Amino acid sequence: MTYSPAQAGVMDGTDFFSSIGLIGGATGMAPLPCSMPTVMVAPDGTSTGDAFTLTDSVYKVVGNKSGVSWNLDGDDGSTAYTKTLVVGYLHGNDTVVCGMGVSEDIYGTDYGSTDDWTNTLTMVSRDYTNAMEIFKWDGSSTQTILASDATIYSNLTVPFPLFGVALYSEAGSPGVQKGFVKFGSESQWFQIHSITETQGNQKSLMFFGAYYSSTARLVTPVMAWGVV
Amino acid sequence: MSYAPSTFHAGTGEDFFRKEGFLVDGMAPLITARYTIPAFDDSDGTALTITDSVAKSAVGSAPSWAGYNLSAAKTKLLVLAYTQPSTSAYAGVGVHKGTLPGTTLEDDYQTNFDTAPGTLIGKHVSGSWTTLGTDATIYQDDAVTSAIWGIALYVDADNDIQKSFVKSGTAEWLQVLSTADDSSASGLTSFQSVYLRHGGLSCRFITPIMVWGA
Repeated sequence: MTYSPAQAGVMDGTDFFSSIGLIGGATGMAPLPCSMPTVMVAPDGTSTGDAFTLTDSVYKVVGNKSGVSWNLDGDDGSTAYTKTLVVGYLHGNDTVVCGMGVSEDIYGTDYGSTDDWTNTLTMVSRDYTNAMEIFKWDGSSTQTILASDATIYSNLTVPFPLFGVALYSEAGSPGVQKGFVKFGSESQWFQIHSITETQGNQKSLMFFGAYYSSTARLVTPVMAWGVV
Repeated sequence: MSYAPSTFHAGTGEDFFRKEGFLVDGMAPLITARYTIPAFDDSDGTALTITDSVAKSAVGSAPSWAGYNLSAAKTKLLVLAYTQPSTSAYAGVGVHKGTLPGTTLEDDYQTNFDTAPGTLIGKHVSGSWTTLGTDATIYQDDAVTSAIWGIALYVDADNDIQKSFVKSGTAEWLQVLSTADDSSASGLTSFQSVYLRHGGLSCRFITPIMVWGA
């Protein structure tokens, strides 16, 4: 079977998010250098004391309040984007929380834990509340749930399938954030949340993984689109 | 974005149903909701709210449907959709004799994921329900954490064929049920509308939603 970029476009949402006007065309939203369509690369920001392995398409972490980041610009993180869309596939083993998002800040090696994140928004599945949620960390690392939908979520336990999450963010006061999921079949991406939280320009792609000495995986395609 | 066969068919089932011989003899696409669900022509019960690729029901628990009228009556139809039931006890698709009834379903064939008997095929005749076939060995659970499954109904009134297909995970579509109800005896010889069936309670339908007919 020959490689088909178009088929990859189905998995990473290129077709759907283009069709609803969030990326491509006049939006100016283009794939960012940090995108990992097939192979994961080492993160720029790593939480302290958490063990991770990279095996081709899989980033696997064992840890507690483990969070990693990739600079959106694929460089030193100095470029800030006014709009972003990040997409990835997740699996958790009793991780309580697992999700992806963006941050206005950048992170280095052994920066601490997810309790130290700042100015960050993530789209997560959370076992503790049995809901899909948009989480916020403010400038003082205070965490707030901005949106929660308990009518659907992905259980973060061993036998459950990988699920895709996507977060669209637009800086502004108010800003715009939309959370999407995709799991279990070839059905299309679909929206769960749409909110208007104040947000600044974004510099990092964030992955919230293991919690309480558990295991989590982030699997390609992991993509980011953005515009300065 | 350039046309790519592999992308066009992704999730729509067209490749499978064409290879299996169901999309022949004039079977043409009637509804092709690849990315966005079009507004419904009519509905009954708990309303579905459309946001691009998803139609999500409110929290009411009434027996419900939302559907589309076709431009002409068809003797053969293939209807396909993806569902996430949340706590709705059933979710599926159906074909209705004549245009949509406005209130409760009257004369139709339907397949759905039902908590009690499993995947089923049934019919309404003059509003009275009869189950034609069930399979409890495979079905989508009515749980908040259920993955999205595909479900499809094929009917051929001229040949008394009703078939139910499901798609779980990223494997191919598979046939679960095949019944042979006497369409003439049931008065179900042609169909002019199709519908999504659900029990409210935050049930979701997700694209692709496809209909072929002849």
